[in-house]
Order: sequence, then structure tokens, then C-alpha cells
Amino acid sequence: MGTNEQNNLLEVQNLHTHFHTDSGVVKAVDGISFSLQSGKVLGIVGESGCGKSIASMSLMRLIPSPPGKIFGDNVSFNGKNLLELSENQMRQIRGNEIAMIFQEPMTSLNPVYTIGNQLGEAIKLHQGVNKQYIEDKAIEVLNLVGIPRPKEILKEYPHSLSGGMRQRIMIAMAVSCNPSLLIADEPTTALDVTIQAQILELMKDLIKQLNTSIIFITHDLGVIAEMAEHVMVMYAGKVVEETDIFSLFHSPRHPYTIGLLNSKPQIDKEEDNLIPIKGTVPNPLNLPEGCSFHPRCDQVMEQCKRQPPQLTEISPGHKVSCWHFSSFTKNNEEVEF
Amino acid sequence: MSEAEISVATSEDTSTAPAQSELKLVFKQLRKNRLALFGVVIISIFILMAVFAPFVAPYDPLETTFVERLEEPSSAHLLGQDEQGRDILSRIIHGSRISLGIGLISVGIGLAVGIPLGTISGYYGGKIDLITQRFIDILVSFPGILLAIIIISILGVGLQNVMIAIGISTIPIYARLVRGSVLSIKETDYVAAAKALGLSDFRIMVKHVLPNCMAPIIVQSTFQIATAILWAAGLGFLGLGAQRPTPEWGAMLSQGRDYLRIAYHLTLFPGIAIFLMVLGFNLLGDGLRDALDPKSRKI
Repeated sequence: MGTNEQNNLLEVQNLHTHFHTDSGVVKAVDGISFSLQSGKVLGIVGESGCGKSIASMSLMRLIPSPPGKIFGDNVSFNGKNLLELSENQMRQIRGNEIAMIFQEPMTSLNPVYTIGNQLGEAIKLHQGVNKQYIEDKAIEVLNLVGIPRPKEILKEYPHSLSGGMRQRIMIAMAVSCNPSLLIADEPTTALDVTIQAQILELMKDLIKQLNTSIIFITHDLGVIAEMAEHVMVMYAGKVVEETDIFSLFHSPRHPYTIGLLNSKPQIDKEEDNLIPIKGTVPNPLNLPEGCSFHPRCDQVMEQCKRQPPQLTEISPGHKVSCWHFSSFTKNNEEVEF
Repeated sequence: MSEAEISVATSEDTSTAPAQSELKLVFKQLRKNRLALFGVVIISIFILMAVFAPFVAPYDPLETTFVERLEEPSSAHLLGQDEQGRDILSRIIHGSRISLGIGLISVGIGLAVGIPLGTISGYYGGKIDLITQRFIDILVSFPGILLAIIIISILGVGLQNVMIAIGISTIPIYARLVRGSVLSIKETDYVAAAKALGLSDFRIMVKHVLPNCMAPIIVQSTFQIATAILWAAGLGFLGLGAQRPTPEWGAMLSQGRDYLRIAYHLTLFPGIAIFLMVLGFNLLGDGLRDALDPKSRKI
């Protein structure tokens, strides 16, 4: 993505999020770097516990501290370094410039308030307190996300709405202040497939209409194919492969990415068994030496067990962190085979 | 607080809203529970008695006479007269003001201090939690009524100090109760969502966390009013509370004790009054606990 540096809305360099627990330090996010241009969609995929949610929460600085600790070289958003802002300045950004959609629509709304009250809260907080304006704006965003009878829905309580409706409302809340970045943390995981398709369609519409950048987190490769242009594959807190959506599906390089794609059922192939990635995600307290994927990798070499590989660009816009490809680069003196 | 917010949000033509608010649901549940309803009736009678005491009471509760002393119940004095010829019925009616006052004010003090303490302690955790919890532990290390007696011995004897003393000794109950609820509610998704919207900690605590832990607080408060009335009566009996000739029920019991063998009515009727009021609040508390718990709701 290095072509248009000046247009980058978000630029993350070497972000770490560590949790200091009694039994040791959990490196949930361990030095990830990426950038995102305005109006683009970045997908983050990976298994449960690979750090994708923590990475997004870190961008919002929503990691409870202690035990969490966020540090890094630079997280530049619209020219501001998010890591250096005060809590007050950060609150101005949350919900206003960076908004978030959560995984569980059923529990993400407060049961004791009406939809109007909760939607109005976001608008009131960032856009002013004129009652009429708040109501008009609330109806406008509800229309935008395709809620029928918005005026009546404003007076409903969350329990009387379905999961799909609630997720639409969460999206309405998120876009109510026209954020320039929307973080969607598995927004469709808790929904059934038909509703999932509707929500994805809605989000694609919103990208076009509002020109919002989106970080789309999911473990569902089908969803990522639908949504993202650029994809980052994470494993054990690190980025293992970063590429555009076509190369991800057509020429994946990292053994983990290949494993992920193999373990996905395909409608056009008749298979008796899916091919799972053997083993399980390593204990984050005790990551294996060298490349953290090596105990599960079927192409493991001696080198993989000794030293962690670096993320290396193997073709324009396609980066992989694997010793099989690091050896291809010209100036990598560390490689000693 | 939650009620106010809800009513603000739905103030304009609620008639079209099909959604049934939590509050209405609770009332509906409460109506089905006969015992709770009985409690409400008892409390309502006492409240009416307290509000209209000067009009309802047949005599002045402080008016003494030397002619008719320790008279048994009669048509003129339904519950008899005490050792100074005062009408016991009138004293009990006026005493309901004092008892209700003690109940409400001491619980008010407990709530006013206990809720913020518990909320802050639970929400922020860490060192703040550690310090407040040690303070609470110190309060809890004394048996409740003993703590109240200690506080009264510091502040001095009197009705006002009884309220303060009981209020202070109930702080730990609320602080712990609220802290427990806050600990679970602060982990919910809607609190995370509120943070992601950019709400301040204070607003999240007041608007999103507290209203969701109201149910146990309301239930505990009704029980606590009953306990406070009992304690006040106990302290009054020990002579630490209301002083002569204030018609406080506990003090009436204590004063009537000397005449127990010759005039039973001096102690029996204030005793029944205490019993009924405590029963009323306990029944209401039981009913509220069931009504506020979605799992025990009868549909």
C-alpha cells in the first residue's frame, strides 16, 4: 500500500499491546504495522485469540490499564498520534472520528433505555444538544441503515427488536457522527446467514455513501472476500501475511494462510473431509521460539525454530512473514542457511 | 434515575409505543403477588397515618392528665392510656411519622454514601477499590447495632443521631451490594459500546451502570427500612434514641416496661405497630425481589 503515503487516514507502526498478568506477559499484539487510505476497507482475519480484536481496541485505546499496556512507534490518525493524546482528547475521537461496531448486537444495547435515548446520546455528545436536531438526525441515520418506521423504533426498547435490527441500530449509532474510520469487530458473526448478507450489503452501501474507511475484523474468509480490498492475516499477535484480496485467495504464501483457506468448505468442490490446520493456537503466555507458527507448520525448517521471521515484501503490496520467502530478499544478512 | 431518563425519552405521545417498559412490568408482577400487595396496604395505611396524623389522632399525643392513668382500652381511648394519661392510639399514630422518618432517612444516608462508594470502587477497581474496601471492612468488623451505639455515644443521644448512626452502619451493606453488581455490569457489551462512543466514565457510571443495578438496591432498601425501624426501636428501648415525651415506638416500649404487670397495653400496642410496619416492608421487599427478577416472573 506504499504508493499513496500522503492519503493515509491511518498509519500504524509497530503497535504492541501487552497484558501484564501474574503468570507473565501476554503479548496479545506484538508489533503490527499497517496503513489504511480514506474510503478503503482493510480486512483483518485470523483464528480466535490471534489478537485481531485487541488490535482494534488498542486503536481506540479501550484496553483497560492495568493490566493492559499499549505502546508503539506511531499510530497516526488524521495526522494525530493516538498514542500521545490525553484521555479527554481521545474521548473526542471515540464515536466521533473512529466508531466501532461490536460482535454481539443482542447485548450491545443497554436494556433500560429506548433506542432513541441511546442513539440520541451519541449525537448529543458529539454534535450538539438541540433536541429537534438530535431527533431528526436519529431518524436520518435509521433511514440510512434501512430501519422501517424509524419514528416508532426510536421509542422501542432493545428487547423488542431482533438481532438483525439491533445490529442495524448499532451501525446507525456508529455512523451517526460521520466517522472517518469505522472498526467493525465481527459484525456479522452473531447473525444468521440471510441477515449476515443484508448487513454486509448495508455496510457496502454505507462505504459508498459516506466515504468511510473500514477496518473489518472477521474469522470468516467468505465475509472478507465480500468486503475487503486489502487483507491482513494475523497469527499469535503478529501479521503473517498482508496482501490484496485477490492474491489472498489466488496465491497465498504463508503456510498459515494456505491452511486457513484449505480448512474452508468450498461449494464447487466435492470433499469428504476438510483439511484442518493441525494443533491449536499456542498459549500466549508461552509462545514457541522462532516463528510462532512453526509447531503447526507442515513446511517447517530448522531456521523457523530458531529465529522469528520478518514481514517481507515479496511482490508489490504482498508481504509475508515466513523464512521460506525471507531468503528471497536481497539484503537480509540475518539469514544463515 | 432510570425512570426519569425513560420518561424523558418517551414523553411525547407514548400511546403509540407498543413496548412495555420495565417499570410497568414490575408493577404488573407486584399486583399478582397477594402478600406483596398486603405489604403495600399496610405501608400505605401507615403512610396515610403519618401524613394526616394531627387530623386522625383523637387526642394530643403529649397531653397528660393526672386523673386517668394506665387506663385500659375503652371506647373513649381505644388503645388505653399510659402512665401519664396520654392516649396511646394518638401516640402510635404520631409515632408512625417518626418511625417512617427514621426508616427513610437512615436508608437515605446509607444509599447516598454507599452507592457512590460501591460504584466508584467497583468501576475503577485497583487501588481505589482496595482503599474503599478496607474502609468498608473496618465498618463491618463491628456488629451493626454495636456500631450504631458507638456512633451515638460519639454524637450524643437523640432521634437525629439515631438516624445518622443507623445510616452509617448500613453504608457497608450498600457499598458491597453495589460494588458486586457494578463489577458484573462494567464487563457488559453495552458499557464497552458506551466507551467506544466516547462517553466519560462519570456518564457511563451514572447512565449505564447504575440503572442496571437498581433492582438489588431497591429490594435491599425495603428490607433495610424495616431493619432501621427495628434498630431505632431497639435504640429507643435502650434509651439512646428519642427522649421523653416523644411518641417513638421503641421509647414507648421502654417506658411501658415498668408497668408490664399491671398495664399490658402500654407495651403491647406499640409492639404490634412495630411488628406490622416491619412486616409490611418485608412483604413488599419479598414481592419486589420476585418482580424484579426476570427468572422468577410468573407470566
